[in-house]
Amino acid sequence: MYSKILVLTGLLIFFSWSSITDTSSAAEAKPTILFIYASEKKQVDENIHMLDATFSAFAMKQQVVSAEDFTPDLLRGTDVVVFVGDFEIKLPSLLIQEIDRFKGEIIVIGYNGSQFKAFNEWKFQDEVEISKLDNTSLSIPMSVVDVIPPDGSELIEVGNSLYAQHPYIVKNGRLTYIASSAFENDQKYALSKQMHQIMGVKEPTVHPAYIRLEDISPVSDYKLVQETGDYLADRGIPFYLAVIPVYVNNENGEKVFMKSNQKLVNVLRHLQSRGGIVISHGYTHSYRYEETGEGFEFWDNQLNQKITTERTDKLPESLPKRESFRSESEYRIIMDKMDLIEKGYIETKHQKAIEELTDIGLYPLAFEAPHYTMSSTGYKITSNYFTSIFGQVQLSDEDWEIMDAPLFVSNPSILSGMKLYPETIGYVNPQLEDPLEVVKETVKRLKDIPGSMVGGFYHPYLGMEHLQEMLDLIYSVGTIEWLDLSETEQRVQTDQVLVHQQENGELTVESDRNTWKRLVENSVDKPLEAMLWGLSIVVLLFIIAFFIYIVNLRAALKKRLFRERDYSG
Amino acid sequence: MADILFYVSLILIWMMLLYHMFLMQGGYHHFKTFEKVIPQWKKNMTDLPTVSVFIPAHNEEVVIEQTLKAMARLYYPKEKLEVIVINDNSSDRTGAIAALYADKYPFIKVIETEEQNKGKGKSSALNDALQRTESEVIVVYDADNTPERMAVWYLVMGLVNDPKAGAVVGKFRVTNAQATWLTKFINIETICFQWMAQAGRWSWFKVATIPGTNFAIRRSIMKELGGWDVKALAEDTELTVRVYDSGYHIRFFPAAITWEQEPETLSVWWKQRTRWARGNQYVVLKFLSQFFKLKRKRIIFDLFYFFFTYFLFFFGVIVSNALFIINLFYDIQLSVGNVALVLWGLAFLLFLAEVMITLSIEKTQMNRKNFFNVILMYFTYSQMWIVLVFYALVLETKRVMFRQEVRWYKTERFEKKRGDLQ
Repeated sequence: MYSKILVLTGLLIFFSWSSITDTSSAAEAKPTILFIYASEKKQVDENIHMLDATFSAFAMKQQVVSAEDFTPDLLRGTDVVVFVGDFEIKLPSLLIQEIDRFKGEIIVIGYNGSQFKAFNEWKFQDEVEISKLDNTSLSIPMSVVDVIPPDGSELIEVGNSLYAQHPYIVKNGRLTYIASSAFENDQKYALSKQMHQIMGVKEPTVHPAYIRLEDISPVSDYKLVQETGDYLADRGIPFYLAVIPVYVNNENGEKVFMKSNQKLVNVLRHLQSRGGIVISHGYTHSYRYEETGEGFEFWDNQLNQKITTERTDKLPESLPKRESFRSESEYRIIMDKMDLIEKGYIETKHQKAIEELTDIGLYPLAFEAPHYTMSSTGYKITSNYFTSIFGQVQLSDEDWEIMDAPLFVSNPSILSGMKLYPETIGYVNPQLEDPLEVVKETVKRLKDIPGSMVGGFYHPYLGMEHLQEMLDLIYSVGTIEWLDLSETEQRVQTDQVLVHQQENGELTVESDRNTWKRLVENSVDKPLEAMLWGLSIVVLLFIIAFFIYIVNLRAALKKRLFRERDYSG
Repeated sequence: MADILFYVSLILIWMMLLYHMFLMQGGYHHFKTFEKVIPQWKKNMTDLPTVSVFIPAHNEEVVIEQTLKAMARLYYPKEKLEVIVINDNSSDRTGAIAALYADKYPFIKVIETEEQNKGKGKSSALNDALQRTESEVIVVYDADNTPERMAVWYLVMGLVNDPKAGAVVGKFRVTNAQATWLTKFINIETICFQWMAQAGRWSWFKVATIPGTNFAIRRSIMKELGGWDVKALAEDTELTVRVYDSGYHIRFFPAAITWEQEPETLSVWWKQRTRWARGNQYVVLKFLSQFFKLKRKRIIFDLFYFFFTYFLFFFGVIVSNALFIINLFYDIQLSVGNVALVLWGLAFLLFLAEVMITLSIEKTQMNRKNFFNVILMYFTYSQMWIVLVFYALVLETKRVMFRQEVRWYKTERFEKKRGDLQ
């Protein structure tokens, strides 16, 4: 009893403390950003996506537009303009004119800076190759624009070539220049480290953090899930449960439903009541007959393209390339058709996942794509169902392997309004000699990035073996503030279900799903079994009728005895 | 794989159970309605046809006397009735006992089978008598039967009032139901058979099977059909199919009642049932192979029913039992859940309900003792059927493969003891 009270007061102290820090960080007003990019044929590559994502973390609101599509009204209410020159082009004069008139803060990244009047005093020279950034050797040398800023500029970050030092991030009054739009791993850390300074905000002293129990499917060992979940709950950690409601056998495509594993459902509900937060991790975690938890669900892995058919028995054709069409409009017609198929597919999956989870009393507050793979159109569809997403972001519609996550909680425009809680430290991988090798390396780097998210995941099937070690590594980053989605506003919805989490901790679940609707759905999922149940009901009715006949016959027994004597003579 | 097998067997079994459920409903309906026509039909019983009652008898000295006693009491104008004991190659006192009765009652006659038909079995004996008589209607009773007084009269009533009826069959009751546990079960079984299979099929499809005894058939049809098929072990089933094929139906009219003896020991039961099973398998194969030649498709129901019973249903039961046993020792990953258990429970309940209805129809049969007998029966007697069908299948396969000739096994009779009659 005594120990229980202790834990309880401990929890109370923890929660009140965390809510205090939360409000203090939220108090700082964030600017409105207009994010303009100049690229080849308006294409958005992963650099632009990642810069967009990173800056969005510092914006109250961020609009994204290409240089070509820029219109002056976008500047209304804008505090900061971020201009990314990913490609050397001649900027539209309208854009130059308006930016020249703009009085707010301007951040230029990469090429085309010289075209703005505000940068008249800056001297942009040829590109140079640097091999060191932030005193760290780059894994691949990079090319940066060699800029000579006006006197009195503040060198926030420098890079080194073989012979000299070159400015990488320079600030001069309301102007900031970043010498490259490249955003690979090294640049991500270097830039993220300085983001607070670039944006002129105070560096926070705490890191948000989360740990996710990953790939919990109907065939997961409920004991291990309970053990790992309770372990985290005992330590007052609000943790996350990435749940897949259906397991698909990779040999025959047979489905096992979460509701048929009542023990696991009980464990998950128990963990939910202890502060565990459910994340919808796809419906089956598979597209074709692949092992649940191993397969892709929202991306055709075999063809490395978005989902183009719901038929999984044979491989569809590869998506056609733009080159094979005479006109853009012809190409668009085909692509729109494909997008419609993808839309239907993803919508069904989300709807089923959300509804089947809420049916069994598990209330998902966010989404995590299996293998973090999904097309940009997929994210758009997903944003109709979820307000938040966990993990990394697939940055290309052509190749799932192009994926990354910013180091901050952010609102990347590719996610169509969904908030991203990035996974930044990886997971315990038992196949490595040191299963925590990757985690160890990344947490070391995150220490230097103020306010960076420390997010990772852990597979409950591993048992307890590495869990504490993982926690220790998370704590090693610095002061940790565990992310608690139950103190944020989240809406997860389908036509029939609404899970609404409010910032004050209140959770409301509305569901139009009655028993009959569920019954019908079940029968669609398992037609044979439904048929057998139907049969059972028919047979039962007959049995009841038969017993009524028996009672009838017995009641009329005497009468019949006389009658037979009558006609048998 | 195991799943597919399981579902296939489940479907096969339940098709059969549903069919019986459906038959039970029909049977109950027939029970509620069959008497209604009697007052009207009685009025037409004026110009009665001549009737020959055939009693094929081969070494029946144990039972023939009581049979003839019953025959002597039959309610039918004696000038239009002849009872013919067909003494087929008996080496006991059958002929002598029958002769005594023939002397006493002018309408009882004894004939000996002629040389070409002698000792060949029931079909041959019946054909023999068919050639040597001239009555308009033929009624057949087994030598162990004791028909009730009105039996023949009701059989003929059916023929007179239903011109489409080629034959009319009555029901039978068991004389030695209390003799052994085996006869108790057989008693329950026969009651079920008559009220589900006979009455049920009659009610729904106007189809009934000639049971080999207690039936009347028009001579004109027997002539048209060329007599009984001497190769058939189940001459009754075989005849049934041909009657339907010739455009007539067979009416089940349970007002005509006979009593008969059932095997009291397992070995007799085993031989008798093996003959039935093999006989029915023969009929199924014979007619299924000439499926398209059958003019009247209604009987296909029946052939299909036998095909189901002896092949498909049997297969389903074997497979599902095998899966069950394998599953005990080795996880074959059956995906089907509780519904299988529920269905098993329902199958048992259905069995109980159906048997209890038929027992209730037979008035005094539905008592507490029989209730427990029924439960016991499900786990013992009903399961013996599986072994029996398997055995019969083996024999039939052997016969077809080695072209063996069939031997007609005559059911052994038991001496009646006191208290056997209920």
